[in-house]
Amino acid sequence: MTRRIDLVAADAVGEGEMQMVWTDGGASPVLVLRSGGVLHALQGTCSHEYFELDRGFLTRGTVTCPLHLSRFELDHGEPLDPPADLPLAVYPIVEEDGRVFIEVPDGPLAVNEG
Amino acid sequence: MTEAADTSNQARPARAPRRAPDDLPFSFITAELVAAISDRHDEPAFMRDVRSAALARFEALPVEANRLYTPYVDLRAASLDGATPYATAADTGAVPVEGAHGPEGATAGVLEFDGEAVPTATISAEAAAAGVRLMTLGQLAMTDYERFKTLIADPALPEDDKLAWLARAAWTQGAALIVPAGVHVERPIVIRWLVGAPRTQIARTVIVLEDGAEASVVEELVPSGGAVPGAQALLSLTTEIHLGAHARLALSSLQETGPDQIVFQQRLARIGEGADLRWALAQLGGRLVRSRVDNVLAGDRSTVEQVEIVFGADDQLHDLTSYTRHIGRDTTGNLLSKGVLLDRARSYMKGLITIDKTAIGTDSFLGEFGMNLSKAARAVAIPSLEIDQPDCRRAAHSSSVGPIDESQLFYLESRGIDPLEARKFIVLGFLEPVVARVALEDARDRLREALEVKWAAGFEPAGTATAA
Amino acid sequence: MSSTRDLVRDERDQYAFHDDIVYLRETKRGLTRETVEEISRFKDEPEWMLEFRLRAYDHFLKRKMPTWGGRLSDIDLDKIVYYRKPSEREEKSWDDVPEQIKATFEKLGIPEAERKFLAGVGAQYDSEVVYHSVREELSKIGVVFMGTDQAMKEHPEIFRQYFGTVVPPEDNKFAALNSAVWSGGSFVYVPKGVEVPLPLQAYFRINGENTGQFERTLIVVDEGAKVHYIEGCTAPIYATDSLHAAVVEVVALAGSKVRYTTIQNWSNDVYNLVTKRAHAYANSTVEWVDANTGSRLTMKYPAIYLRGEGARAEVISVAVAGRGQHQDTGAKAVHLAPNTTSRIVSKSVSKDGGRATYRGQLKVAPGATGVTASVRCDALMLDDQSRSDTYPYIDIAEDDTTMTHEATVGKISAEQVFYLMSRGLTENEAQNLIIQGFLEVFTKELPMEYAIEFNRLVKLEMEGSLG
Repeated sequence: MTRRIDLVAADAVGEGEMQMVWTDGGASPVLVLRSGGVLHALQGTCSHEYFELDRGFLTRGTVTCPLHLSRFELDHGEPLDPPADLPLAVYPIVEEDGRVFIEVPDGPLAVNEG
Repeated sequence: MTEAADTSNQARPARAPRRAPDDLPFSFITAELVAAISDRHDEPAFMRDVRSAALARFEALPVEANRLYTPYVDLRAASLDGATPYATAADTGAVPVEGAHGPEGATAGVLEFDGEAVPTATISAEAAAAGVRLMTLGQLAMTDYERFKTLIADPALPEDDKLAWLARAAWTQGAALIVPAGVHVERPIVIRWLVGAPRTQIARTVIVLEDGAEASVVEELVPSGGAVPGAQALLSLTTEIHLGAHARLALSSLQETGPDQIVFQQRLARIGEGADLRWALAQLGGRLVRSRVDNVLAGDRSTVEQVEIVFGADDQLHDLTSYTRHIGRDTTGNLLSKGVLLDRARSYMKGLITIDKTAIGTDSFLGEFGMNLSKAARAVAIPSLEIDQPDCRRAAHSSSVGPIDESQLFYLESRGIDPLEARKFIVLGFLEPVVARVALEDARDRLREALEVKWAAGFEPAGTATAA
Repeated sequence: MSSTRDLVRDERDQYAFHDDIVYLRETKRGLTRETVEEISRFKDEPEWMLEFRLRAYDHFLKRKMPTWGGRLSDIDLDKIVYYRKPSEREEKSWDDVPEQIKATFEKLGIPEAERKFLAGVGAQYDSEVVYHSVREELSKIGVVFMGTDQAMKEHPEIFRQYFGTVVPPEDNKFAALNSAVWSGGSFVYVPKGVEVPLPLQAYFRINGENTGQFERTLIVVDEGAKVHYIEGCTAPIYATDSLHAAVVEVVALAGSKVRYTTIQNWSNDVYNLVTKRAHAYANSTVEWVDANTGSRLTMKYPAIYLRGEGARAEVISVAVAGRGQHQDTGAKAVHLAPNTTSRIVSKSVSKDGGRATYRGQLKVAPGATGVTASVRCDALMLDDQSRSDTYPYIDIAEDDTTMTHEATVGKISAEQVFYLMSRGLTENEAQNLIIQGFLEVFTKELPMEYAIEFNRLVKLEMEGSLG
């Protein structure tokens, strides 16, 4: 069973921008960003050490956590630069009526943590 | 459309177990395997002891023991779950084949290993007469057991090199080259390993130059003709070099294996008083290469020159570490690493020069230079120094990463050379220092050709036919 | 016309210090959640800061001690008193006041007698008086310069916007510790386009803890503004407790220029673990000028994240490691935007068994095109008891970066010494001159008074007369 979580208005996230949405009553941060015209939704905290990634850096198709400079690609959340070695969970995006949703399995949002 | 308030405590979706970047990509090195190897060859007790001691060291160590480098190791490209090493080694001795390898007179000897075929060896009459021995380790055991014992059981491997202990525990084939005191071997000696799926090759090479001996060796790692394309295979090779006083060795090692090869190379060189070692290392092939060189400048006035090139393309990862330890007085170390990266290739160049307190009068230089030729390539350089003795002639390192030199490009283009050709000249020129040092003309030519082919593959406009 | 003394006394009465009220201003030894809550209560902080501290404390507990770098195993975290507010300054003599401070007063045009009071000399005085005269000059140009504690209350918006954004508590164990128990430190805000004419010195903030162990400094320089901040002084600082874990955050907005100079000379039993980082936005320049001569162990790697196009980073650092000392220092330049440049120069001197380590990181992230970066680290070892290590990490992920890195290690050239001696210098003088030359690239970045003092300090270190 899946559920949809409403995140933001699609036009609220411009090219090269990142936004953090606190879903599940504030328990699960989701990072929404647009890179190369494509919207992505990933877990909002670094998989290496707790840090909110909207304070990180989005550079050419990758997101860098400013804490220790772990870097992740956007399609699968795979870590490209150490020290992270777990990927960021990636959530499938559904755009409808100008809003951005993620469609995820029931239960708490999947998150990878070190 | 809003989220369902779901407070049920459901398990998270199952995920395949992930490998950490420094997890060894195989697990077949076990006590059973090692025992099976010994059994197959009816090895004497001392051999079993050596293997099991090595196995214990192997098991106790992490892949990267040096804290400086732990974030820069990534073995995830290797997928070797299906690999099985051979317990049988075709090492009852190499079959001598007269002049079958290489042009007549070009070499002083060739020793070739090709999977489970019987190794073949040829040695020139002069070299043989001078007492030079080029043979498999198995053969050495049969012809000079005492020597074999000493070399095999030599305890000096770097303490913390897990992969060196792996090879020592589980090797099934080995090469030996022994040059007696005072003998100068004029022409190069070739040791060739043909590798590729489905064979897992774990091997040892031992090279001994006694006092005053001189030789040059070309080590070739090339794809086996029978290799299965598209499948990964493991080659783990440890090379141990002992140079007696005033011995001189030039060693070129050309790694030109196939695109699915996983290569672990460990080299240890102990350099005696006044002895000189020159490395020329080329890393072209392989999907994942993890190489480690340990130069131990134990003898006073010993010297090492190490020139290395890396040409990475596609998704290759070349993980290269070099340790140079100055212990004797007035030793000299000159290390140069040059890398060119295309596509999504990565190179990690890690060097550590250590100058012990005893090493008065050291002259040490480490240079690491990289050219990233594509946006997705990544070069990491960590040229480190640990100095306990300030009384050096020179202790320096230098590193630079940059694009192709614009002024060089301009110079060539202004002479009517096509821009793409000009770039090629500059890059191949950048890598030439190692090529020039390869002692065997045949190998040099082949290397140059391999570099050209690799360059062309990276820069050929999509869709055009490749002119070989 | 009343005398200066009378004037001062009158003002003192205005800000009279009431010593009939006794405050409990010191936490028990050791660090517990209660300690953190107590500190926040003592300071009467807003709720968000208490939450910040507690979150940092939780993270501090989770993190392990780093096993790289220097030897941290001797630090006993349970023995330290984490908060201590001095109720009065101790009496000092005019001679105790560092030269460069006296010189600065001169520059400020403050008459001699008043200076003595400003420096806290003589009988009881009140720090509020002192403080106000400096602040007045600055507030005329809109510059905010006050203690961090005070800034949190008086400038909450800007404070909260930037506090903890450059060095978050999760960064490392000691940043977490500082975030939990911080007290003291400077807050500087320079408005758009303002150039602060004189270097701001930490010494001016005489109210509150001056050189607290867990000070937290935040400097925000708005667009096009310019400031030079100087911290520390060459007089040896004797700490009550042996751990100094400070955090410095610098935000250099577009087009601004910030220089932060530190001269650290803690006494030789202090562990000096500092996290200093700057975010440099478009076309801004951030310079860390950093000297480390004291302490038993210093671990400090001033960092600059070049976040905006055209930003420039410069780090000039020197470390002198004598007997029983380990200076583990370096620099980090992280290029996240195109056309940024960084230059790192590090010089170290080690002698008598001292150990100098350079640990640096140069990173060019994808998207950071057109970067030029250079690193130069040189080490001078004066004898074979000392040790010098260099660990540079260079990670380039763009194809048009121009980066060079050079490092040398050596000893004082015997020929040079001989030459100078033949010109009439003693061996010591000759060596000293050579060392000064070696460190010149750093010393010439200091304001004159500091340069003189610094050279004198190095000379004393070489002679081993500093404990």
